[in-house]
Amino acid sequence: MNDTALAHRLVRKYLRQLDEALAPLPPARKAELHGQIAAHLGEELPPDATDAEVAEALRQLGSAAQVAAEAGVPPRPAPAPADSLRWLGGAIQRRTWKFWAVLAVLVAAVTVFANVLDGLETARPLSINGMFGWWYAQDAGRQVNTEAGMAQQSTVPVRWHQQQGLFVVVWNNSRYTQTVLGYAPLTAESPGNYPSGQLAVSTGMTAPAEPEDPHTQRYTLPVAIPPGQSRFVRVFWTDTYCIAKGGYQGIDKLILQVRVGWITKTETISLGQLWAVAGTKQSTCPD
Amino acid sequence: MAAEDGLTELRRGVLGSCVLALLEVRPRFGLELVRDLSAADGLLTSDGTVYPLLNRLRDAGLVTSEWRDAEGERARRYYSITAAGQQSLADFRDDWAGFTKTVNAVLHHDSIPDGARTKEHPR
Repeated sequence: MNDTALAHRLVRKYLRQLDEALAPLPPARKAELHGQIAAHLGEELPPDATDAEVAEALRQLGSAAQVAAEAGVPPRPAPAPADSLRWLGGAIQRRTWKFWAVLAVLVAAVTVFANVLDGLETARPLSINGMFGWWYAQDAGRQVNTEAGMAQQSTVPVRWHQQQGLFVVVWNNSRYTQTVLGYAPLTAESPGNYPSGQLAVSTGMTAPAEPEDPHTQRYTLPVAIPPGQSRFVRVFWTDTYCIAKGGYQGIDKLILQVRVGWITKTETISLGQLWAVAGTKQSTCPD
Repeated sequence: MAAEDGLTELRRGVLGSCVLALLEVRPRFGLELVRDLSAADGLLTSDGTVYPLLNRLRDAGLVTSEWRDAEGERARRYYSITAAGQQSLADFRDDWAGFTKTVNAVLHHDSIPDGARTKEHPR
């Protein structure tokens, strides 16, 4: 999937709107549809898509409400004139000082709330920074690094039914503490992510300039990453799918569920390269 | 009802069968289906509505899906038609032929085919 396109401001905004529109659906159905639309955009858009290209792709996709309606979400009823509105109309006519005072406080509160909300929603997502590598020495010792154009890949032989994994350092380059909750719900259906994957984040981390051994860290979830700090992220998986000789499977991103303030959102972290396990001549595939 | 609304409803009604017809030729992944449907002028108004439709067809047992991870390509979910889907498509083809014949006859003031005459109300 094209990470750059999914990280585009307009795409992220659309996917957030889609999540809101699909809220009445069961979580599994919602996650599936989110994944399908994200995959569509990731494949449709070039990595360096302009705002105009993204806007056109989103226009062709249809509004989040249209997609939700097609998925069986009933349209939201138009708000009926409420008693509070009638009270507001009367108050405007009366123009009492109490009315204007209440209105001023309300406007100020809404403005502050909106600014905070906007800050949380647009907080820079976690990103890769510093060390990375295969977790197990036997994999690190057999890795083959290749490069084709801008695409880089680190490949190791698959060890079928054995745990393999990698670690990366993620950096919170935002003004808010970001808490990694786990994989996003859609991860299990996302191409490039192993359904059997286990995710964990280190509880402590030294500065990137003086990195510690990732193997000596304690890992758990959820883990809060304060602004400006980094943590190791460890990903384990056990391949149970057959990979024939010459074939490979890999991950090039982590799609995480992250809490920022009181907002929980999905962040896609590009791993910078494809981490792949390849079939070997010893690989035995079931009939 | 405006003509455009009518067309929209008509598209909605036939899109599922058109998807089945494309999958009858060969399995396709989501974006490929969207592009093929878009190529049929006027059939698809919003790309995003194809995915809920695919999920409904799968829930109805008319299509199946599987991930394919070919070497050198991204992993994609491919959709295939099932035996039930092929039967549904065959039924639709029969119904559609009769339906279009009837509608054309009415629209162009031709004689209404016997099978489409309004039945008398029971007394």
